[in-house]
Amino acid sequence: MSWWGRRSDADFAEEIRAHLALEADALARERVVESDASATARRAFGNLTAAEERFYESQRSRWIERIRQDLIGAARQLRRSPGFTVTATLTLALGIGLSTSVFTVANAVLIRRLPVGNQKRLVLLWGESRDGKSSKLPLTLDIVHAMQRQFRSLESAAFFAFRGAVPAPIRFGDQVFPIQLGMVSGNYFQVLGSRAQIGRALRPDDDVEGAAPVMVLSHRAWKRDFGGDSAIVGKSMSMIYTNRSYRIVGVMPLGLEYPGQTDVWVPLVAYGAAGGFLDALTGEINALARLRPNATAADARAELTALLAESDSHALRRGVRGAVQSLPEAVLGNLQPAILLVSLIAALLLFITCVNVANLLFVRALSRTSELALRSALGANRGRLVSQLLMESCLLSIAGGFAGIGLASIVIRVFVIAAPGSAPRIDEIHLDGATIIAAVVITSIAMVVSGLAPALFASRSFAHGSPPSSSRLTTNRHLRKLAEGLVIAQIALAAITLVTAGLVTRSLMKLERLDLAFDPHDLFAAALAMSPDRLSDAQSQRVALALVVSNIRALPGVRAVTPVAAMPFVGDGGGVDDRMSIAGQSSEDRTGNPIENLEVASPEYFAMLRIPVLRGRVFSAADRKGSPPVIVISSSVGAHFWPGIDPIGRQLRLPPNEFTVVGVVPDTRYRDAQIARPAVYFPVEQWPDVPTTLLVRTDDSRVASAPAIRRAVASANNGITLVDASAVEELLAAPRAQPRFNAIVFALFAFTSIVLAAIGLFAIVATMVRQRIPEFGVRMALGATSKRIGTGVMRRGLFLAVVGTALGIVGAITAGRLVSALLFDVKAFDGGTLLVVASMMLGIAAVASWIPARLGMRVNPVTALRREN
Amino acid sequence: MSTQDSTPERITLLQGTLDLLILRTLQLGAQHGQGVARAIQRASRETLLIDHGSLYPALQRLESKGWIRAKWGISTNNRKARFYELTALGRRQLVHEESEWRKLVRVVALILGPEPVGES
Repeated sequence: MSWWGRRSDADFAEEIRAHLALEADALARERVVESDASATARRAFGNLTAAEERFYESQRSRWIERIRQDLIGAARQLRRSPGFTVTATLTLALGIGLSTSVFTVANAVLIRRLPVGNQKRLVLLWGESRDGKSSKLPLTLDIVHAMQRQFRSLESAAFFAFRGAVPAPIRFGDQVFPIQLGMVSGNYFQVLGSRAQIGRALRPDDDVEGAAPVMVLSHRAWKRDFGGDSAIVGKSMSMIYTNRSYRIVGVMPLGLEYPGQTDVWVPLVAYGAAGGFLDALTGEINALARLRPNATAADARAELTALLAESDSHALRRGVRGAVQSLPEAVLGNLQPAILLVSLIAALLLFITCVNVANLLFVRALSRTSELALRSALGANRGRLVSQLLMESCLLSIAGGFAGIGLASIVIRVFVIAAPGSAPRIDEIHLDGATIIAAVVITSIAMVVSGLAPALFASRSFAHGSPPSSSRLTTNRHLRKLAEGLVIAQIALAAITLVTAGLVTRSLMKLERLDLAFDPHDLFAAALAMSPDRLSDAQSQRVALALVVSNIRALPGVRAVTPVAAMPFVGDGGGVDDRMSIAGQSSEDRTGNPIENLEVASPEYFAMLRIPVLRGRVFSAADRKGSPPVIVISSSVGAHFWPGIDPIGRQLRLPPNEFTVVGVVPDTRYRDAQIARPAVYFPVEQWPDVPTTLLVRTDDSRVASAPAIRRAVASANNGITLVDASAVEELLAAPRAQPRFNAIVFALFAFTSIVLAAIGLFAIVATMVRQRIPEFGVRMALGATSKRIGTGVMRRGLFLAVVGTALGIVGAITAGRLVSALLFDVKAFDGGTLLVVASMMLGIAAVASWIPARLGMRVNPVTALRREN
Repeated sequence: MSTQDSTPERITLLQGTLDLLILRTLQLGAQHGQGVARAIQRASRETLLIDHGSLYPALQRLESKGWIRAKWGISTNNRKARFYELTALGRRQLVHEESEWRKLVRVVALILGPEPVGES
């Protein structure tokens, strides 16, 4: 046992103090005269002062000196084993760099902000049926007024038209734009806490009957339709539906398009009153409200439910309760699970990194046992050994941290460059200091802890007694077991991320190969606009449209053209939606009916889109204006109104008209690529409006293209202009952007974790081989073949991989529930994915252990045996 | 020595001798460091001065070898001090070292011959 090891400095100091006191007492007892006393003391103590100085000084500065020495020693040790140092630094860099960069990108893309004041407190209120089957039921103006008056949970409340943004053409000069119109209350922007970027927002005094007609533009529409010209504010545009001129008073900031994809906001009451449909508008509205600072969404929901229970309306009172959704969630989607998942995986990746580095440190401690034993024998105590090992960890984590920051900034830059232009807010992505500091701090703590464990372990094992011979020490079982356990954990974690990545990728593949229930190949969608000057009535519009249709049909490679009500995949608010009903339902009963997509269809529509007809017939040329009104419904509409009964020949009403069902087709994903929606199709001739969207089926998308369609529309020169023409398959890319992004993020995570796991496995097998070289030498000298030795090594590596993968797959099945929100049509337990992951893991493990196994096979028995001595 | 002043002549201890002296001193009973140093000084008639630099490491060495053990106690003049005492192992070691030493002294004396007269 060494001097510093057993007793504390304080104890020693105490003994010295006691010594001095005792000596002083002794001198006093001997009654030495004062002058003599000092001399005697000097004599008696000889080099007391020096001893004292030596002791106290060393005590004070010793730790600084020690740290300096340990730092130098640690640096020397790291330099001496460049393989370990480089591997550990790279592992850290990879872990820190990739986890922070992916987290940063994911966060920037997923966590978006609306240009409103404190978006967390903004909520949307509506009704839902008590059985939960129907949601987003509209409220009435009276209810919203009551909310404004009574609700303690709300600071303020605004309202907007239930249908969100509706398509409405506007005329500016001689141009007509098909814009999305949002009808909102005058205090809408006040409640949002949103100021105009140019001019002003709508005000409450704009929203009274008879107020001067005004509108505000969304930033997107301002850029797209008006080239971002600031002079637009103050000019007027006419709404074709109301035939009134509206003055543009402002442009709202970028990112605000709610409700739906609004291009132009008008004050609801003033607009409705001017158009004569105010009652229809105010009968079905949604509320947007700001919660009081201490109130929660649940408070607002409870108040709304209580209010509805006192409603005059019997149906509302009995069947509807309050529903509240946060505005950011409604606009940006519910991002909590995705953000949680990305954070979790980033943390997992960091954890794997820590485990990996801990493992490397363990393995290193193993191979350094003789060095540690020697140092301990030469008088280094345990504290000293621990201190130096810790110092090595610190140096590594500093190096790894810097390399990780470098890597992260490179990865982010590459990501920004490589990302598709459609990726939202990609230009705002930058390396977040807090994120990277967090990653470095976490890793450093892990490094210290993982450096500490082997240090304590090693010092406890080797600081005792005489230095044992190196070969006996290197087989320290505990250390090896621990290191192997860590590798198993790492392989398991890699398997979990790989399974997740596999699931997300498979769900992306499913999404890409999705059965839309119509055929998007070689299909173009063209949005048209009609000049209200040249085409003032429906009849002239129909004639003009017929000419454009025949022009397009005449294009080479075009097989069919059909007018439709909406562009594909426009989602909410992009088309015409309504609730159909059956005879005998009261207006309140109707609130339980599904909201259908209302589509128009020509006789060739279903054949052209390759939508199968399940029952009945499709439209024919006989279904024209004046003939009995007919509809084709999608299967879920029939299932709702006539469960188990053939709907053919039955009637659906859309007041004031009644329509006879003549055919049933499947629900398609025409409006929303991810959800098959209920739809009702009307014959184009019986549809009150003239459709302004065309679908064009071509033989070969390369022959007939968007420019050709544009030329065909222009050549008609009859007041119809082409607004947009795109291949439907291109339009499909937008709804798939997010899943694709998810797949990329997870693939990156999985790649990193596999690389880390492979490094870990390689390190441990390589160390095992190095340590067993003497043993291999003996066995070879006794006649073992190199093949046999190689197999033994491989078997160990593969054993670890098999155990790790098995545990990982069990973990992945459990963790799968978390990702289920991100999955589309793939179950969290996906046999195929698990099989692929398992074989991938084992393949990688085989390579990671084969390389060191070859090392073992090349052992020269003579050299190996000599090394033993 | 002619140059000596009031300070008695000091001699350098042979390596390992201090251990023997400490063990011998402690044979008389438990003692603290200062007591051990004083006792050796007094017994050597102030010829041997034991400095801390060697005394305490030596005590520690002996303690770690298990020849002596230590515990905190109160000195005769009521001060806290760390008292050392011989262990059974230490007693045996003392016997052994003493006989070794006497053997060594005899052998060295044989080689050096009789002590010259006149030197104090």
